[in-house]
Amino acid sequence: MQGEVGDDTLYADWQAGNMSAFDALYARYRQSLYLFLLRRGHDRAAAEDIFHDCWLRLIRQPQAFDAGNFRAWLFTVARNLSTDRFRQQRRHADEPLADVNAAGDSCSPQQSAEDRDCIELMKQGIAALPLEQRDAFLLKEEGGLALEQLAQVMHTGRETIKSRLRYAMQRLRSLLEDCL
Amino acid sequence: MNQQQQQALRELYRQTRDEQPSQMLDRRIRQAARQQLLRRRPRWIWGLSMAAVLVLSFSLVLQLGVQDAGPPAEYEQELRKPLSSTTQEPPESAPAPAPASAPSGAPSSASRSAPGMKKELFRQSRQLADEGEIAAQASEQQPADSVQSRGAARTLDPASGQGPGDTMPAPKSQLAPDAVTRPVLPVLPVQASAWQALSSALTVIELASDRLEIVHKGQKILNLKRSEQGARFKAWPGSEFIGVKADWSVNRHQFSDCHTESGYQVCVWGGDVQAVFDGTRLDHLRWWQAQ
Repeated sequence: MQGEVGDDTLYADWQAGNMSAFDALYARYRQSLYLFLLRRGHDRAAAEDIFHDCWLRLIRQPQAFDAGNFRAWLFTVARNLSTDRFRQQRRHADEPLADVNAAGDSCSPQQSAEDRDCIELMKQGIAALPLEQRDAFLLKEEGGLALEQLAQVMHTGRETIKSRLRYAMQRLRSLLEDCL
Repeated sequence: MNQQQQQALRELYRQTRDEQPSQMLDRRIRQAARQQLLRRRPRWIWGLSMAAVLVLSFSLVLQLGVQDAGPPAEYEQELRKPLSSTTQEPPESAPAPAPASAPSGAPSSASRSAPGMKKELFRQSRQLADEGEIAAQASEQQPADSVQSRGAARTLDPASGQGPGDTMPAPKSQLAPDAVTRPVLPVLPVQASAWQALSSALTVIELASDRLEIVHKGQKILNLKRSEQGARFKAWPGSEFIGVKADWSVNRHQFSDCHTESGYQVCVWGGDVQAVFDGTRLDHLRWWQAQ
């Protein structure tokens, strides 16, 4: 990040009419935001849909972000939209949210570990994490958020975040022991 | 779990990062951002243009308001009152005065209202006004025969046997445009014989016992109504011959190019030079003074 133009600067430039600033900002978070949504448990279409809505909210309601950490704000919006989508899915399909949270459990990654490569196993392992641990892991890995920012985004304490991260890593390690 | 294992896990996770949003989605989002910027720009330009339009409209309305102001409404009413029942239309052979409600955009008026013409008229009016004042002062000092009509008017007063109340006082500020070449009347006679004696070019028609119509060269130039308080008159174009500058036929036209002079505001009104005092034409003041 050294020497890189800050998010706030790019955002302000875009607001001042500089489209290339938006392009730079978009390129910076394009993949990480999309992967965050995809790994959170959405299929590709839903992830793209939420991704689109998230950026449109920034574009059409720029006043929604007035100050603070742009990265944290962006991932907070994405997480909220994603949660709304989960709720809608549960309401329409009468599918309990717990099932979404435990989507990976049905894959029995441990049983099929031998047949799959480590990358696929990792994907399944993340999907199998409880949603709160998954969020903490993904927001840290994809969003690059620090503990304080994670606590702010997830509306919980710093120690809780640390615990969730620790449990997530432990579960992944136990799942991917053969790959490490 | 040690740091090495955590690092290995992260590395493994990074290898999973192979998916990307579609390029179509990228294009849609960038397009939306561009459109938003474009939408925001015209909003600013739109605001500026709206402000400009408002300012222009306001100034236009002001301008039109000034031009359409015309004479005061009560003036119009008073104009119609005094002689309306007895006023006769001028003979057909003579150019009829335009009606009081004549539209302001008459070509002749418009052409006469050209800036150069206005300046010239204003210059002439100033000159004539000055000359009129000089003549008026001179008439008080010189014998009655120095100015034929003025002398006639003075000789008429005793002949008519009318007191001061029967004659009309001269207006304060004379705008006598033909003060030098045409007779200037400090007062208007109220007797038909006095008018006949004033000039053989005048025809006096007694419309009623208290109403006169003065015709010059076949054209009605003045209606006069006597009353106990004095007299009131209405003048038409051509009345300059008897020193009455009262182009009332164009009194629908606008004030413009007003200048303050000797306490009076001299304006180009309907292409003619008129004096205005406190927003009222000097002729109007004359008319009131004649009452």
